[in-house]
Amino acid sequence: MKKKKIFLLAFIAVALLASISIVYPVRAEGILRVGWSQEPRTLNPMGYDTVQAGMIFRSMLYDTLVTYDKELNPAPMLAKSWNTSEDGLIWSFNLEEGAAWHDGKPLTSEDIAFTYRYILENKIPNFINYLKYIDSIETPDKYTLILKYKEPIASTLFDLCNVFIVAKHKWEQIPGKDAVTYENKSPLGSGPFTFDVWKKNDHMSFKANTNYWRKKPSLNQVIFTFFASPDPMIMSLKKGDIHVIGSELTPLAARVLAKDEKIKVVQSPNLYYRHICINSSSFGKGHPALRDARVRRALTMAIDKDHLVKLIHMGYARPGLSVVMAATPYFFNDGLKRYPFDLQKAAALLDETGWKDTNGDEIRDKDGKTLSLKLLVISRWPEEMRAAELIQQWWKKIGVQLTLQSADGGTILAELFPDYKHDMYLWGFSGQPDPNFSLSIYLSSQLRKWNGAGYENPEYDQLYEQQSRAVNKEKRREFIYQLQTVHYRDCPSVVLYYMPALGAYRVDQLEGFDEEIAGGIISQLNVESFTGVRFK
Amino acid sequence: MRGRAYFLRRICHSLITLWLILSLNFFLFRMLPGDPLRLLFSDPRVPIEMLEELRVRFGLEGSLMRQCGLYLINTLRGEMGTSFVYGTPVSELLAERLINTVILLLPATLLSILIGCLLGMVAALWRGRTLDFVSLSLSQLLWATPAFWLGLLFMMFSAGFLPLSGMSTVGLVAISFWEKLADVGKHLMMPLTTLTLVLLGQYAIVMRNSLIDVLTEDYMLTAKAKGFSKLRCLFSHAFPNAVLPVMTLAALNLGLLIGGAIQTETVFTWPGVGRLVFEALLRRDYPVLQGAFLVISACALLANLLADLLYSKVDPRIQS
Repeated sequence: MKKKKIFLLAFIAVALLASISIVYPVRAEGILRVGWSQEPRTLNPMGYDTVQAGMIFRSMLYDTLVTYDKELNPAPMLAKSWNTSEDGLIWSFNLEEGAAWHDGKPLTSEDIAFTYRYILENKIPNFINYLKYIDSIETPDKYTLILKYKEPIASTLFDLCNVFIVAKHKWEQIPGKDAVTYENKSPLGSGPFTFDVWKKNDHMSFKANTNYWRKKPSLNQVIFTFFASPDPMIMSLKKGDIHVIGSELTPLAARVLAKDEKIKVVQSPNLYYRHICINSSSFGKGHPALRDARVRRALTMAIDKDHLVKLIHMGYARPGLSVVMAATPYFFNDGLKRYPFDLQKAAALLDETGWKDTNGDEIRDKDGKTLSLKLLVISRWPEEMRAAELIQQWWKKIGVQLTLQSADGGTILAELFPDYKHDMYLWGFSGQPDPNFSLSIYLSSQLRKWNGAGYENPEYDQLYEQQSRAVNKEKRREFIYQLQTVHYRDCPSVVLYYMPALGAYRVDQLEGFDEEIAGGIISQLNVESFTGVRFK
Repeated sequence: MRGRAYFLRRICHSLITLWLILSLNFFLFRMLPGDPLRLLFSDPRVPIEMLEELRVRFGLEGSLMRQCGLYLINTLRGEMGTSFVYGTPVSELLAERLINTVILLLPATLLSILIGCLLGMVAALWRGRTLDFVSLSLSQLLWATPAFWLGLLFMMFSAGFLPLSGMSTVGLVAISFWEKLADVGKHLMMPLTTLTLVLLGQYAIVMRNSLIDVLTEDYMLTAKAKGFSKLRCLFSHAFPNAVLPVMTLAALNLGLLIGGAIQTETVFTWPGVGRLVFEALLRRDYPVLQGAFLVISACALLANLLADLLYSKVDPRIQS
């Protein structure tokens, strides 16, 4: 008995001591601490699949042949200048001569040619679509690169902005079949920061590359700290344990943080929207009514997007319109006429299609089948379930019964592929500065791939083909405007809202963030997310 | 020896249970919709040939029965496979996480039992008085409190004093072992307090009720009549009898907690087993899920086995 007591006393003493001996070890200078609630799965550029990894590659580790400027137009990077043959088939690039890998070896045309060939030969899914029209690659000398295309491609420079250049002397040792799953434990890059350490689910750290050939960072180190839930992350920013939260604040958090004068909340445009994808496939197992574009349009008209923006996102969003991102104003067709929120018109349109309430149960039916639909709502954002509940109310008023099901990504994908079993799902979508990708997901060639709506329309396919060949920028925009009109008319999906990137940083300690660029203060589109940042 | 036979029988039971869990384990996660490969490579542009090759590498090809057979054989060999998501051996992942969980869990459990029992004793001794009322209400309140809520509350009021998340401060330079230890201790304070408070309520309630029962037994009257001091009555006559239900509860909890401290782990970003399991579930990372569930079940079984054996020590009647 006595022994036990002594043990317990000792235990309590130790616990107390641990709590009293609060020490403050020295913190090194110039360390930027970033909080994030989602980590990359991998730092392998050939296999990465997260925005976070893309951000690290672009703004810290890797260089690209050309890159985006602040307006998201292609600008020089490894290539300091270039010229095109008149038919648009031959592109020759003059390269910077000072670029080097983190191990000191020079970065030459050989590395770029190797990267492109490696991607083409091994059909690396992350990049193959950006390069697949290249016919041959030539390197007449160390600092000249010539690309010959099979046909003129309108988005060539945009495409090349997205392909990260890897070191030949490292990647030639990795067999192509392992490229996607390769762990890339210590990435060898050429960017303004070098990889330091990654403790999974804890932190990831990068050191400044003091030999960088472009603008050198003024920070010494950047540490990303992982948070399993958002509230502690916000409190840590208030407390000063971290300096920045990238673009993952909720509207509510943004409001709370905006009251703190030491913190600046930044709302930047973003290439991101949330949408409801409607299964209109002729072969799938979705509700047959959804194959009629008029039904889809009626459903669209019965969604009050303004109300959702105000209520669900506290005004931190813009009501949805076209599938092209509102953050790329050059291609965004804002001339589209929005369907007004009008339940009567929506009901009349449904009457027109023959779906009518014949048995007085307030749900429309036709040939013995009721118009009752199921919406899968991605479980990652609880606020979208609230949006779905509002939509459910509106649709009920026009005689459409909607059941809601919260589902994780895996469950939704299992419904989609390969049988298109779903009626519709609510999910997010990230686009790119070039509208090609956003538009391509409704192509019939993308059925069972990206085309979750199961949409098939030869007119759309043809317009897409035309825009991708139109080397003339204005001509291309014409086609892209038309594509948006067709999509909006047929409603294979409903874009609910374009969402901004909401971030925040300690304005009392830091300066030099780019606040206007799409993607926010730490953006996967900004090569200089970190190089301009400095402590006051 | 009777004791040894009992011991062996209990171990046999546990092993049989473990085998059943092992077999169920395999099918449980495969019943979830969603293909792990599709989740890992959600990009539909990944060519089919590449997916098929990965399927072979991940051991996801062939019939389910064949996969199950392989899984059982490998597990018996002590191989838990490699995580789909992280590409590291499951045993490595689990070992690291398990240590972190134990660092948080063991002190929390011990402290909550200790404080809970004391609180329960106080309540039982002053039954029906204000002290009883206060301690009982407090216990019930704590028992009903969600850990994440309490955790957030602590964070709000301790801002500036204790670190809010993780196990250690990242980026400290040139610190000694003791400073490192102190750093972890500092990080441990809030999750430990939260978990202890959330757990102690049930121990207090069980201890109180059990002690009240015991205190009204005849042998307590006898002990009092023998002229033993109040304290001796309590500690050597009442306590050993009253502590049995508390032990059962502790054993049950310990098993559950290995995987179930997930709320506390999430709020404080404590890299424990609970969060590993949660993340693996979202990604359908079968090897990690199977490995973790095996370890968690084994812990639960072990805790129960230990409780049973301790039971028989404390209360010899159980053996027969």
